[in-house]
Amino acid sequence: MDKEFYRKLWHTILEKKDNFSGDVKNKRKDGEIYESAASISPILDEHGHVKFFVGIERDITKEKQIDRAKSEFVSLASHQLRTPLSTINWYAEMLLAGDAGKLNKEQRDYLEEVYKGNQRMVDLVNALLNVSRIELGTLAVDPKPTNLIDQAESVLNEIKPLIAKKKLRVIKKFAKNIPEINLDDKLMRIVWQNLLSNSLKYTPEKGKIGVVISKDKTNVKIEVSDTGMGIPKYQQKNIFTKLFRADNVREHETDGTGLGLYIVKSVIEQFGGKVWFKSVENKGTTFYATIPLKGIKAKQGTKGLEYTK
Amino acid sequence: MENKVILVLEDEAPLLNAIKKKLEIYGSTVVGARSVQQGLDYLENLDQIDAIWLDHYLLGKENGLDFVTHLKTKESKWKDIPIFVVSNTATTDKVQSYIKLGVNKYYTKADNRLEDIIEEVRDTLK
Repeated sequence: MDKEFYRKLWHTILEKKDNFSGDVKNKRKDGEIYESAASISPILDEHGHVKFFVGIERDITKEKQIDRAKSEFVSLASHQLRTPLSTINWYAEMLLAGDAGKLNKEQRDYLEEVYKGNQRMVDLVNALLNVSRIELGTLAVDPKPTNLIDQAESVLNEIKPLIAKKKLRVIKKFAKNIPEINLDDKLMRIVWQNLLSNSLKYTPEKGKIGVVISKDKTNVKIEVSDTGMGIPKYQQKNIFTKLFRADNVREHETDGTGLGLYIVKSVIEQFGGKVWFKSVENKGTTFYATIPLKGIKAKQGTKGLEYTK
Repeated sequence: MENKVILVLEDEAPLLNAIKKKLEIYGSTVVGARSVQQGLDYLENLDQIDAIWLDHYLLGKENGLDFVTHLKTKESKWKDIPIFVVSNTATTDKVQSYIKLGVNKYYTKADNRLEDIIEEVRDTLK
């Protein structure tokens, strides 16, 4: 376990005098490593001083193994799915291009639906692959100086036609003194793509999308706001949970995987930052993320993230 | 793309078929191979191959990386033929290995239209 873990542990039980729980790697008497869920509680005397601690530890080695097996299965299945999805994609593309003869309007419309449905499936598979990589810990982090403003502009440019179609107004506020940060630019781009495509998707016509980038001594802060349908109060605690989609968006919009914000949170946490939001139903939502100016260290891993829409 | 000969290495028959048809619409001649050995045989026996379209997983023991390694040796006659890797196994380490070996570009099948890939190949061959 790293130093930070133990610092937090002792800080919680000794100084805050609170219960601590966390996953710990431990060694059996025979030297074998096992994983456990530990919970440690300080017992205080009548003056509020710590008398002793009570620790309970549960062996979760098996659970962790099952969890990894599950993620490996998802990854493998997703890879296998991509081949037939590519076949559907390419043949539908050729039919639509008229490579096998001219289509009538109805045939074209039906085929457009096949093509779109398949695109959604590709997006879903890509998102599932990303999730399994995050959970398996095989995600490669490859830092290089990243200009957050350029990235935000580039992703906004990518979705420009859709913004125009919905007649949305984009309000940008970028501080002048934002330095380049050593980040994995591909991962960061996926954060922008998810936050901005959500605000686009869930904001009604003629609404507003705001993008703010600012900084303080230690962090860069990004904000993505919209005047969209918002997150119902009773479901706000679940919003970063994998595969969760709020009731109001499920009602209006069938498209979406429930994986985007989970990926955003995982990536920002890899960067040592934090992500949170404020939301009022039918008024809008603002997502905030902080990213340490000091950047990140490289992490060996075999896989990057897939492009998602 | 007219009068160009493209060697396509792809193990999935329906995909190989689609690539072949589309390239032919653009006026190219296509030679299809499903294993590294078959691809090398074509290179050895044909007079003209202008570009290579390569998948990662192929039939047989060797994969696309092995194929590129064969082609990019110092003494290879074929080291200057442009190579386009079109695969669904786009892990970062694999993409980097291909780029290091000197392929022109790496595409993920599921995320790219056939037409877009072919047009980029065409622009390189111009």
